[in-house]
Amino acid sequence: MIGFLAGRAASLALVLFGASILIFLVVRALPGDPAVALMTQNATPEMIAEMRRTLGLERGLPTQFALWLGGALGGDLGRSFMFSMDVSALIGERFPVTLHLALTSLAIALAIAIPTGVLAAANKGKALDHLCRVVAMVGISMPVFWQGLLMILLFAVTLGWLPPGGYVSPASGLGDSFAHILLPSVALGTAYAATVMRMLRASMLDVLGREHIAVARAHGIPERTLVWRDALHNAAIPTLTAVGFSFGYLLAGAVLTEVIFNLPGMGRLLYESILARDYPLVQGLVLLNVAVFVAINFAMDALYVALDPRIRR
Amino acid sequence: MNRGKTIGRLLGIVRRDPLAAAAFLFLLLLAIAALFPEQIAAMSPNRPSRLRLLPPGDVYLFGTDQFGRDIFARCVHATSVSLLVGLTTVAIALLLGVPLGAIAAFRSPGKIDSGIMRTMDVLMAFPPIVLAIAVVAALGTQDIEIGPFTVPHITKVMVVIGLLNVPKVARIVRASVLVERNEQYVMAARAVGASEARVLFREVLPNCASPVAVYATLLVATSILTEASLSFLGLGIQPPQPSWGGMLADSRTYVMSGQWWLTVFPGLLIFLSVAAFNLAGDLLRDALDPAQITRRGDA
Repeated sequence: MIGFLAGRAASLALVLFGASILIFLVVRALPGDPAVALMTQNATPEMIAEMRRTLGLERGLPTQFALWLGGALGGDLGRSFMFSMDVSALIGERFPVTLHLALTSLAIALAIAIPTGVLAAANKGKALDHLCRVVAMVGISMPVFWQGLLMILLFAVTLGWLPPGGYVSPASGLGDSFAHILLPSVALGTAYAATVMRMLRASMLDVLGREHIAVARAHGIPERTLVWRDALHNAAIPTLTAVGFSFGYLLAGAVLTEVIFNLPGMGRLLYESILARDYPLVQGLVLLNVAVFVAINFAMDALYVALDPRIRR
Repeated sequence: MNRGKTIGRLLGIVRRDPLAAAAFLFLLLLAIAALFPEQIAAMSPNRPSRLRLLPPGDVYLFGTDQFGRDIFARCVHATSVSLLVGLTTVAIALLLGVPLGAIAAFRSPGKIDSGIMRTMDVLMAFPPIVLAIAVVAALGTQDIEIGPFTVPHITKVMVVIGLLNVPKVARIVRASVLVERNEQYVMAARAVGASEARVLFREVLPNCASPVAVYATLLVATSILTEASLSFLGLGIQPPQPSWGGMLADSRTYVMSGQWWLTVFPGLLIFLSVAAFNLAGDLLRDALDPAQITRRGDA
């Protein structure tokens, strides 16, 4: 088991290194000179050259990359041009907002996906199954930004029940915080719910068709116990890992949601930093996105090994 | 794959399933709108007028926008762009992903396989929308001059989305080829002296067409959604050219004042197009693999 996990860790470290090279090269290709972007219109060429030296932009690309990667490994992602503060500190400030959004979305997604996935599989081929299939298709095909705008139109503008955007930290009042995070979480969570529901339904159908379920049924175990306890327990393992893998995408999916609902999280920060050509910030945010994705992949591999004895052997 | 039988099965499914029939009918309407926009929408999509922010009515079916432009005409004219992006990006992904996946599988296990698949792993470690935003922003939203040629921004968007899909196609093809390469007909082809390239491209790949065709159909839906997301963020199709994502981005300003028609119609078209391609992918899977029909709707 340790050998398997060590192999996966080495493979994912290689992926992260390759991704860091790609991030560095893409960000360096962003149009415009950040030194010029930081200066006023009256800046002389000497002042711009001095700024380029300060930012380390006059050095060769390999040196710049080595310095950036060395710093990143030590937690120093450079300084944001736009906010005049450390990228790590800025990410530390915004990450809780995105995490709050992602976790609430995950909770909403699971609250929808688990009962619908189980009920659809238990009623395979019946009206309820078809209804769940249609709802899942709607969830998967609905653009998150359109759903977000429609919800603002209905719940904020027409009914006036919830605020149209903005963020309130749970520390400043749970009720107010929940009211602000609800619409964005539903927008982000429903598409995710559809994906999880389809996975769970497929896993449940697979498990419900196995011999041990047929034997349990023959022994007179009630159908409800069979479905909700025995089958769900077995079907949860592959679904759980799939949920984990998709969580990285959920964090990334926050870009559009945060832009629409004006949430001060990492997604909106990434969008703003790209528009402002803030190299260190773009690099730091994309690297963090990839690192989270890679870390979740590793955690899911470990979880799978822990839950499935066949891999342990 | 027997093409006649597949089409027959597909028609059978469409006849039995009203949802499938609706999806194919909608895709047909989309194709007509993309090919003949002037015949369907009489008004110009870009001509402003004084009739600003008119709600839907007899003359302006979907209402007018903040510049008095006909939203129906803009929606119809944006269809061709969305379909073009969806289909071209999938063609790019297939053009690169199929040979890469096939070569990786044929050389598996080995350095070529490891090299190709680790590169694909690196690309797949990026959440697609994040990478798309970063790369499109890096390339800028202006047309690029390369010598005597001008590369329009829309071409860059299509290439970027297409390249993002290459790893997914390569993985599907690799998995299929790994299964097929051990089949008896492959050994028979080798035994009669067929070259490696001939075995791969003439014998193995045609037998991997089913999963690739299904996945390609689903990819069209994803690509339309990615283009709409980029346009919504101002990085995709540039104004005044109409695009569904761009129209939704413009509508944000008017959400709070209740002009719902600016938001509803372009979004509905994105949603219906993506849903229609997703349904078509599911149905194609059923038609190509009859064993799956008993498990209709399985993810």
